Amino acid sequence: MKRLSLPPLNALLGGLLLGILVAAALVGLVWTPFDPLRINILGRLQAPDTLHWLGTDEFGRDVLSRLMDAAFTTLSISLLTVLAAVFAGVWLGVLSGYLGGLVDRLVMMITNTLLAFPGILLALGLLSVLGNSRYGIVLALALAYTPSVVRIVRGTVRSLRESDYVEAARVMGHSEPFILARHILPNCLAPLIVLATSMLGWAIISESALSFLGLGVPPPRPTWGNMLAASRENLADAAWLAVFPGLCISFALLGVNLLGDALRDFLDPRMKP
Amino acid sequence: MFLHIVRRLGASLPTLFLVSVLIFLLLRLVPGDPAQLLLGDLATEQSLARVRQQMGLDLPWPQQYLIWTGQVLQGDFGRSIQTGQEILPLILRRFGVTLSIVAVAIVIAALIAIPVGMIAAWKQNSRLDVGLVAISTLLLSIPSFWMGLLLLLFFGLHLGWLPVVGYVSLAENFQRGLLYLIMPVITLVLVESGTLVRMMRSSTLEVLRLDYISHARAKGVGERTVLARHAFPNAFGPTLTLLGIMLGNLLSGIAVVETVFTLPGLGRLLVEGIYARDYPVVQGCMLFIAALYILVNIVIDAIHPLFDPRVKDT
Amino acid sequence: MELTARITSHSGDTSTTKKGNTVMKFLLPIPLLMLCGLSLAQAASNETVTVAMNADMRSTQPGVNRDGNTDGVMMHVVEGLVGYREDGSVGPMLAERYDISEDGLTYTFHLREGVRFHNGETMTAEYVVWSWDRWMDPETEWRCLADFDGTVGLEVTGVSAPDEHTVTMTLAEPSALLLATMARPDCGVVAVVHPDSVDEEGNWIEPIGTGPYKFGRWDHNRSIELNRFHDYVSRDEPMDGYVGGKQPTIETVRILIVPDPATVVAGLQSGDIDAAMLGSADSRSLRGVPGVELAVASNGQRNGLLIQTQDPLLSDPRIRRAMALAIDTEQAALGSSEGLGTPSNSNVPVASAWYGEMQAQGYEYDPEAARALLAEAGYNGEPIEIIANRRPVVPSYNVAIIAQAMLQEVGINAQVNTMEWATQLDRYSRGRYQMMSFTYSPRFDPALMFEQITGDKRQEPRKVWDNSQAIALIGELSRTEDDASRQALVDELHTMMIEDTPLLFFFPGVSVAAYREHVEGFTPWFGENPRMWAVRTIL
Repeated sequence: MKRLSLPPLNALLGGLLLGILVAAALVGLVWTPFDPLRINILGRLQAPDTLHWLGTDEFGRDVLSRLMDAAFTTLSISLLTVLAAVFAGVWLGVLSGYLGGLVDRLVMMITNTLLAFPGILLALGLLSVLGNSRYGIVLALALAYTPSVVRIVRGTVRSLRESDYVEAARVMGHSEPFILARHILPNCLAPLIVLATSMLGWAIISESALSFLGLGVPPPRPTWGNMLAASRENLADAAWLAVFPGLCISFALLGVNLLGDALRDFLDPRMKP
Repeated sequence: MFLHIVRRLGASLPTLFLVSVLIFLLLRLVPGDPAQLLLGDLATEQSLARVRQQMGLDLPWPQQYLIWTGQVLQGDFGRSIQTGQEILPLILRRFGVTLSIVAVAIVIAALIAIPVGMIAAWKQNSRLDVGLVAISTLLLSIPSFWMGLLLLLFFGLHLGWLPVVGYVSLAENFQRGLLYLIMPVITLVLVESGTLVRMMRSSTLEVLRLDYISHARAKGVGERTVLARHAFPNAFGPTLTLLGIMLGNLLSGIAVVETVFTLPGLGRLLVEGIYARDYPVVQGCMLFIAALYILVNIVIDAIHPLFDPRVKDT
Repeated sequence: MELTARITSHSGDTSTTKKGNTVMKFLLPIPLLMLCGLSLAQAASNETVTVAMNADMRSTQPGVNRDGNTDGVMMHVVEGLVGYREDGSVGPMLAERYDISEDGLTYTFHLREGVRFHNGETMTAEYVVWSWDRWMDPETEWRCLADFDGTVGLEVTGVSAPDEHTVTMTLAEPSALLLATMARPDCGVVAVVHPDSVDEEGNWIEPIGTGPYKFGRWDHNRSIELNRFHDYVSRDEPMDGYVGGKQPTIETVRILIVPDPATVVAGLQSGDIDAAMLGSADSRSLRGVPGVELAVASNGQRNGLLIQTQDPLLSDPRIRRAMALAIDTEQAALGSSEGLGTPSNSNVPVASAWYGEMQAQGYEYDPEAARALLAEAGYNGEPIEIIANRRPVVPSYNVAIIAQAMLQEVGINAQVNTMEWATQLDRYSRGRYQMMSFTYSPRFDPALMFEQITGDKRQEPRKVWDNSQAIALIGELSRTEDDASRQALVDELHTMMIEDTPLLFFFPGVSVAAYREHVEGFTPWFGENPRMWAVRTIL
């Protein structure tokens, strides 16, 4: 009993890390120490001190305030991406797995094409069409992640479609949508949750990488990725500009990974010691 | 098996076709005109029209697409709009840079991660295991571009041991070329081995639970032999798949690492091509990457049965 | 200690050390001074100098398939009758001098005698006419064809060679732009080339020109080699821009293609690269680096903010004026150029011969007046978007960010939107923007500078300043030959532009020449590109 009530260490640590970042992001929505966009040419590239805890960047903007502002951008984009991918993936996966035939073949063809398509070009294309917004990134990344969801859902649906207890439910006169919702989808839940957690990690990395390459959220709006990219110009003089945004990304990823591990252990007891 | 590979290759053709159409359309839907980029603010209507005509950009899209695919089928990827270079040799040269880094990094990462992962599984829940898992989870959480920046900061700027920017090809000057490869390779090794260790550990754990391992142990086979002879061949399967996915991803997507270390690899070529709206370069790169990706997957699938008896049976 | 010493002695090339010793013994009686002179002379000849260039050239045919880098390389190989001087005015090159007839319709060029082509043949009027006919042939696809055949205005009706050393050109109407257009590097300075530059079918092979360097080996996307032309006959006067005396001393100029500025910086530090032209941002990391020297000059580019005067909000001149008053030109210029730029609101760059007292007068920095004007115009916090890009070669992003801060200071809700350059350029050419941080490429003649920004938006949406009076003045400027009358027109245009505020210039582009300390004469200038004929090496 006691064992159940105490969450494992990795869940605690992961929760703590993510909790801090989410709190910083939420606080950043209403208050930051300085205006994250406010420049101060005279106070550029100041090392961390008591006024600017994490220093200032090449335009004299406060790094801590920018990190807080960026936290919300990055975390919200990542979360939205995962939600969108899961939503689209579940629908397509169910349709393709349940209906089979032409629909299935079509969905799988699109899925395979998307898998062979580098996310960068997809993101750039959508960003240009949608006009440099964060929703462009969400859409592009969600498109890139949807195939994984489709595959998992489709596999589960297909294996369960002909199973005995689904047959039994049919015999009992339940409608197909009911069977789907009641008997088939719940079985996708565990692998889906595990996948969604890893996708959250991918989304954080991808968003940062896109911003790092200059294809993500456009500056001056800060993201951890574009802050890292800008830090390259002053790497020799201002190492703190490269260290802190990277730390934020890594903490977020570590939090997600630890939570994901804990979740998998919980949902997939075979792995449990 | 050979037939199987040929069939898989055949089946991938529609995917390649779809990829090529999508790239073609997407590129042309994105705002930005290659002719305009070539001429900058010097452009006049006449000069723009002339460049478009020279490049065949004034033709209707379907015709442009047909001309392009026709050339590609004959092995001619065309010339870059920006630099006028032939594209296939360009891609191959840039790919060589990427390949040299990725191949070395993956081999080193696998050589480190596979034994480490097996040891962690073997000593499950010991301090060693917990420590190894913690380290690999930490490595997993460091994005490659940050790892690269940190290495640059420390070894390049702080200690001054390694060159910070630039690239010398191994063919040109082997010793100096090696210096430029060290940091990118270390970056990839560190980042990728985290994932690999965890994968190897969990698949070893799964195998160690199987009956035949208990049988072997019951028969008095030594632990080392159990791990090497009995557990490894079966636990390596999933890791191999992961290695394949990793290889495919890295070969097409180390643009970020190439940016950090200013390496003239395939990823940079693609990103720069996108920026310059160099249609033929981007189309060529994408087709090359997609084909590569599919090929790697097929090869991995083909050698997979060697390591996983369950796949062989079906 | 011991270990290091041993390694050095072993790794050093022992044979040369020994030879050096024996030589030293023989030379000991010779006065030290002479020895120095000897080694200096050796170093000065037989040298290769490596210059970095950020992208490959596009072709060897000047003025046809070209870009700025191509022009820069070609200016070493070919010459025209005239060329640009240091300050953007036009001077004679292959022409000894030229006369213009009373009616302004006939130009007579008297050619210099004894000038040789790279293949040894003597340059005469016959070749000038042959070259001209080749450029004007539509099949050549010369980019400046339209500038001479009457499409744009200027029309050359005939070119002939009355004798071996004289060439005459006749015009349909008088124009002040004939010489200025002939001198344009992007037109290949209407290069005089030998007919052997083309094959029997008329296809281009390689330039056989009269320049101080012969075109050598071209290893695409890696390097270009230029070899000193030993029979080059220089003009007597000192070097001036692309004209004047040219006395090449470097045997081989190796142009290395290095796209990444950070790599150039590293190469200069390590000594792999001897010289390079850099932007202001990249030069920062070279300050104080031992062995590397820097020289700074303003060039012909102009950095500033374009305003869409047809935007409902920005069509109000008071709001445009308020923005001009809200921005401290000096801070904007210095802040976005590492302190290297020269603040100026003029469309005529500071280094130009046409930049005078009048051009130095721009906008006063007066935030109070700006606020008052905004209130008068009824501005109510409507957002104004400034488009910028992050290309490393231009200060677009820096200018936008700094201007945004100053605009916000007076209550203007300015928002910077960073775009990819391709997208921004697309917006520029369609005129689809509110404001845009932009850099204009260099023009040498003031009529062309103003023509860049001025025009009818309905016909050319990329034009920023749509003012019929200005268009008329530019037309007059391109017909007027007298320098004093031209200056008066330039001054009038400047005053009108400041008054109208269709765009805000802050500073001309900055060229930084970075070179190893043994390199001399590698100077930054108005025309941006390196001029290797003026470079020599010292020990």
